[in-house]
Amino acid sequence: MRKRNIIIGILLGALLSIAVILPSVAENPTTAIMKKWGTILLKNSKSDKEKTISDIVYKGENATITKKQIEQAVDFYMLTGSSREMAEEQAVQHLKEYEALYQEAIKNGYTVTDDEVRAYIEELKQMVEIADNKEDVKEVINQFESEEDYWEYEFTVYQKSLPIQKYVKAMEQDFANLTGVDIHSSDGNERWRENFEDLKRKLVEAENFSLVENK
Amino acid sequence: MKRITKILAFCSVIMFLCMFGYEPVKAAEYLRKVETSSQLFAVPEGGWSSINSEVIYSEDYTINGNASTFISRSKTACYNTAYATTAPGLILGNVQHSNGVFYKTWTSVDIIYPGKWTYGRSYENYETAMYTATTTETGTLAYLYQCDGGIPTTVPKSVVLPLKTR
Repeated sequence: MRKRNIIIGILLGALLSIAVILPSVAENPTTAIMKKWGTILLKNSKSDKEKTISDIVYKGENATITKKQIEQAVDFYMLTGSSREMAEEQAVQHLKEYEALYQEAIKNGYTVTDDEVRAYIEELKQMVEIADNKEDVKEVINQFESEEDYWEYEFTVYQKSLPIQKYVKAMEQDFANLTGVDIHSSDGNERWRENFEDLKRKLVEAENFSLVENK
Repeated sequence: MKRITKILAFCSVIMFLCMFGYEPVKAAEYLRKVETSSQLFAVPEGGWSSINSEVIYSEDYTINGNASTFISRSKTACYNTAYATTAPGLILGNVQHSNGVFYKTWTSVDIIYPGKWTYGRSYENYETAMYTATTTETGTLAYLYQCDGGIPTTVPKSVVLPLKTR
């Protein structure tokens, strides 16, 4: 009788443990994607940061796109569910726009100092703390050896992204001033988005990217 | 003498109504819920696009006895974004009461919003609904964060407002 009670007790304990552990083990799909994204970023953060001529796959008037950038963006789009072929197209298109915008931002004087980047990184850290998807962001960060390593990597990302952010904000304001469109309204915001897509298309055309022959 | 009797009778009726709970129809009051939230979207270059928002859902009502008549409702969103190439946005959806009724006809209204927000928009709906003042019905305003080309691409969100007025 006593033995039977012990067995029942053990079984109940095991069931209770499963009930407690299972929900914490099951990840939501976005969390799993973020984890993978973190490992991809970690891998790229460790590879050589300098562009070498042999890394360049696309060359424009001023902008270049490297193999490493394309690989990262392809991985990104595949994580969103795109096929490899589709992801390659999306990656190249995205990077052409990104690099063309960067060149235009620098040409128009939207440069940033290291201090500005550091200040933005601090803002970003605060944003993470209040974000509804804080746990997903932490999954990306957790793939790095330390949080410090992650933010160091982000520093290099924002050295390039921050000038674009500043330029795009200024373009948005110019669009509002020149057209008289209220960009705060729903319609006005939609018109700015269309204008932004048009701006990116024109900048990519002006860069006239061409595929660099592999030697 | 007859006139004084009439005045006294009128005052008695008013006093009786006040004492036993009659409430005249009041000017509209409102129920309101404000939800502040932020979301980050991963982008291909390795950084984040972000959106911070304040969404306000309110229901205007009048009280008549034990009944609340909801005469209009409004939905407002104020938000900021930060992005390089992948722009996040906020889409305000419809309101649905928990009895299944959707409120789909909205009129855009001008608003003045605090300078800390870059974008702001507000809409009103003027359909009516009646519930008891102690109802357990709720209203839900659905909204969506959207960032084409980001992870995640969309994030559905909602503000739930209990419609109990007493």
